[in-house]
Amino acid sequence: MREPAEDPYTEALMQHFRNPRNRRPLPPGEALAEENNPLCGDRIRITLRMADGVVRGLEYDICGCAVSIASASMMSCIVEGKSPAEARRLAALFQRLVTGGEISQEERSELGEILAFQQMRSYPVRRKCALLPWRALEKALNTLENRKEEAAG
Amino acid sequence: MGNEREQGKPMDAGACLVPRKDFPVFENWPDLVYLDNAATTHKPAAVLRRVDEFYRRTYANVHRGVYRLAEEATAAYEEARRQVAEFIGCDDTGELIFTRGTTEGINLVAAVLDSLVQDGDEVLVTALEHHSNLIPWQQLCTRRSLKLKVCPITPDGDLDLDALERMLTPRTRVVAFAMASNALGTVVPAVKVIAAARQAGAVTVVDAAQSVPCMPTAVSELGCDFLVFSGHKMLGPMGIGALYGRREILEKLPPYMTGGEMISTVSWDGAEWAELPHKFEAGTPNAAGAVGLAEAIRYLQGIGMEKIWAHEMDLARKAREVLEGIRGVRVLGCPATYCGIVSFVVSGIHPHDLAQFLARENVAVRAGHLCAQPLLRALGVDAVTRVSFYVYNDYADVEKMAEALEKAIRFFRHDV
Repeated sequence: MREPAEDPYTEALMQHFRNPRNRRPLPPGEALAEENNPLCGDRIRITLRMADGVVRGLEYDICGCAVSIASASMMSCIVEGKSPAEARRLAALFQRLVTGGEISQEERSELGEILAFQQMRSYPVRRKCALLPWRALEKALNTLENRKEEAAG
Repeated sequence: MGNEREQGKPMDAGACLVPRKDFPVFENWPDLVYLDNAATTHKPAAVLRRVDEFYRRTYANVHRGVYRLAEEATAAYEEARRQVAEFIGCDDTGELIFTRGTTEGINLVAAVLDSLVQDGDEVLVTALEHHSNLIPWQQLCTRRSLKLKVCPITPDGDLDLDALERMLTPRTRVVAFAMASNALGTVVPAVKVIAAARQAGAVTVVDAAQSVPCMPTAVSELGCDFLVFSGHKMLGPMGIGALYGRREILEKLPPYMTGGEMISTVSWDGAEWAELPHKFEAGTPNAAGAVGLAEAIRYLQGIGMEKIWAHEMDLARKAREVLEGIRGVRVLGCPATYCGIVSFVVSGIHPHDLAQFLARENVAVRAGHLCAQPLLRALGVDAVTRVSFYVYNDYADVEKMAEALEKAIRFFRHDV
């Protein structure tokens, strides 16, 4: 019998799945970005406010699995108070975490409970679920930048 | 006799049709409850041995060399063709073309039928189709400005035959349908569909990927023009499948791929096509896959296709009964005639979470859109969990699945 890989439903993940932070129904007009997972039809819509150059209040509406819901919940917590550049760096770091790249000690402590998603390294098919909210965040940041440029231009 | 099971033993209800020891995968995964047979099936040792033997003893390119080894390889390949043809009730081996599988078979037919259709013609498919029997037709329709029509299903998941009759018109050029649905397990009354389609003057294409593995098939009785299936869903190797095409129509059609083996003469200016079936088999074929498939067929015939279908229906009925007894579970469809496929959703648990949790309990199921997105959307769901059975499954597998499912419900839902 083979040793099963540790499955993705760690205590931290289940805790966010059962009690997701910052989740609320978003009317389509309110969302800055939407992202779908064609594998299973999961959807997330996301909005965030910027104040003094940092993220204040990221909210999302999600129809998805435990992995994607917990990922969205933890993401909404960690980007609070971060600049767009920092949020993008975190998105890249998260991608590295789930796809198996090197993570420094410093980065580990920065990620905190999000480290739970390291398990996704053993579940390549489910990585897309974990990444879904982060892709939506990147899209939302793009939307905000484009709006700013349009306003400036 | 390729079949290693003990003959003449009385059958227990719900017991495996064959000893699990025929299948090496269960030696390596003794606790595996494999319920993803609609995706692919495991291989009996007899099939693995036959493929191995082909490479060790009779391997050379087929239809080319004149040395003894090449002649033996060619003979083995053509004998496999004869066996596969016979298995589906076809007595002309010229009508049996080896392919990579169902997807290639349908793409081949949709590509070559290009020459038989005219602008404004109609192609009719059903709401039960797998993407592989939908997208090739969508492509043909776009390419040639045809109209694609979709015959609906009843709330139980059966094909709506009255609607079918109404939707057939003198412009219907092609009727392509799955004989058994990979999502709901519905077995379509193919003889009726084909008769109605022929009366309307349409060419009939049967996607038999889920039906050939589990029920008797006779193209002579069906009366279809084309029928396609895959070897890997019926104990055979991956990368081999077959296309049956009626000789009269195959002769009228141009080749699909061109190159080696499919010609009779070639000059700098052009080529003449080889006789059937070689006209549709360009390049070096998967001869090892073909002999492996023939061996799988021998193994299945040792059990009997009627018995396999009865077994699948029995397990599906049991699974339905057990699933419907669990609170929060909704089984999709309730077709009048069915095979060993049951799809369901569990309120409050995403199918991917459920499938992942079941994997922890050694239960292998499929979750997702099952390559049938339009069908699932019509049923009001984005994704489902599917269990599908084969000859090595038994009631105990259904019970282990149900136990794991109840555990998953306790884990994911705090309201129960």
